[in-house]
Amino acid sequence: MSADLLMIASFLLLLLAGVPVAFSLGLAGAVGIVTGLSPAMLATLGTNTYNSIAKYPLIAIPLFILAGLVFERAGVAARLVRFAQALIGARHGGLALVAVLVCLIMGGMSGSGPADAAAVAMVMLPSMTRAGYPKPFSATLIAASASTAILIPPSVALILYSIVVPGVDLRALFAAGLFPGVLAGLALLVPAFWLSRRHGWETPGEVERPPLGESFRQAIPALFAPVLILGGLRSGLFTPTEAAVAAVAYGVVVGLFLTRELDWRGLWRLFGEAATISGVVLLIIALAGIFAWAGTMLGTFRNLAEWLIALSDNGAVLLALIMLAVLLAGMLLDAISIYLILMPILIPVMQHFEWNPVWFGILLAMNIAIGQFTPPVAVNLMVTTEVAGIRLEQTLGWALVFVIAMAAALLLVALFPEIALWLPRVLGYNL
Amino acid sequence: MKPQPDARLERLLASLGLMIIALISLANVVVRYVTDASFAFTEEFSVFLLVVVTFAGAAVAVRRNGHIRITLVERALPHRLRRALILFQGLAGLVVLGLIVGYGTQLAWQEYHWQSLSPGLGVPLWWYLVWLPLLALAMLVRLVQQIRDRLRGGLDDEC
Repeated sequence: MSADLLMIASFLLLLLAGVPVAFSLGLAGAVGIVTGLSPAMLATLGTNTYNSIAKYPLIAIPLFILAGLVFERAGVAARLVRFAQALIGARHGGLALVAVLVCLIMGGMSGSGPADAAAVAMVMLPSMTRAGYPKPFSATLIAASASTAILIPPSVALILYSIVVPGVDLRALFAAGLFPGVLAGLALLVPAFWLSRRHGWETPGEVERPPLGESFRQAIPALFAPVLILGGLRSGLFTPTEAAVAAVAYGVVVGLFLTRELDWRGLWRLFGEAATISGVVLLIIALAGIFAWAGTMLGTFRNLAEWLIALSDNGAVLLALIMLAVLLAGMLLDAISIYLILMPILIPVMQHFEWNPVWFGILLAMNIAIGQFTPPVAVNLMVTTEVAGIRLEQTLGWALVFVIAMAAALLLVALFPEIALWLPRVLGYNL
Repeated sequence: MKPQPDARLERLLASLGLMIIALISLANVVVRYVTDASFAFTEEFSVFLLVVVTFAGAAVAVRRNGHIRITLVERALPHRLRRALILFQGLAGLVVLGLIVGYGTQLAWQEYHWQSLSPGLGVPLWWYLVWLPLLALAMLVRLVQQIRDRLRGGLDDEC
């Protein structure tokens, strides 16, 4: 067997055996080096591991993870929910709309979905259940809307994409993710409204409506967070790393002094938690460096890319195939791993068909987002079903409904790239 | 939630690292707007701290068995086979971490031998590099503890 095949086969075998993604990448890379190059080249395990993470742009990742945790513990979710309820009032599907809106706004403060899903589920599940929504439905809806966090800027996954794919401006990616993210959220509402009306969930007038003015005042600090992050990035006031640290500082001030749900002790614990989550993410990046180096030296990625291109002359057909493959990968893995494993293979394909890298990155992110609430392995759904106290299997039917809804949004962005590309172009970023 | 096993020393290191990164970045923003000057040399230190956060944080996650992995097959297996699989997972992790410890030590030793200085702050490069094998070794120890716990039937992770 050639070293190429041996490397890929050992990677897949290790993954299936339940070895952590990071270790699988490192070990498979080592297998490729030993069988295809020379054992002496294993020395790259030292330099490569260090240099893969010793990059300044990566600093934004732990800071955005920290910001997300700080906002979650600062109790902004509950305040956003109250305000949205006051705004929308009780009607069929009203709380579903509240859940989606709050998830979208939370996505604008943190970089990843599961934390948002947990925060919103804890606040909203009790009131949704009281209003008559079945628990599996609510849990699935929240998991699905929280998955848009990897599209709505800031997004940890998109930061990584901009580092992996040469010549992509992170600010352009962030801007390009906004409308597809909102579109994906709105797409979820179509079946949610229809189902609520049909089954008569949440009868109008039964649920008490919080006072508008007071709940708005309470929600201002939370609403200002996305404005600070996105506005700061847009105006050129902040680089992404600076925007991340500004978000952390702002979240700390809100949590300690405005909502007062955070204390110094809790803050210190959050640093530890954020560092642990960052360790998980960054270790994958560190060891993927070995895999990428081996795959490049062996020509594995080039061979795979050529094989892919040879599959079909038709760009649209190949794009559809890639989307399907990424969707399947998204059911098993997280966005960071998928980008790191697949992008070295997909970059040549992307260049061959002259797909816009920003648009392509957003399409991939939408696929991965869908995978995050598709059983059997659905990170967001696991979080919300645990909060709801139900089994994952009970959500299967609902998950299918929302998968179809979000796939429709994905199809729209694939057919009309301007949905993603209009905003970054108007803002004057390089595409 | 059940109390999770912890790696206190690594957690302390990782928390401190992240806190200093945040403080340096914040100071950078403030200084840049107040004085129009930047202290770019801090970049080198922040990047080094990022390496510490990564490996120390990853060690905490190893102890809790919190790294991202596919558990589909593991959960489908009967008890005896699962034990064998856990041993295999441990072995795979040991090999990778062992290689990193070994070649990381070599790298740090080389830089110590050549007395290379860092480009930004002009400190000996091995001061930075030596943390890679040290923390990889910590991960290795935590991995052994984690595998031991799981073979005893503790630390069942359903997510």
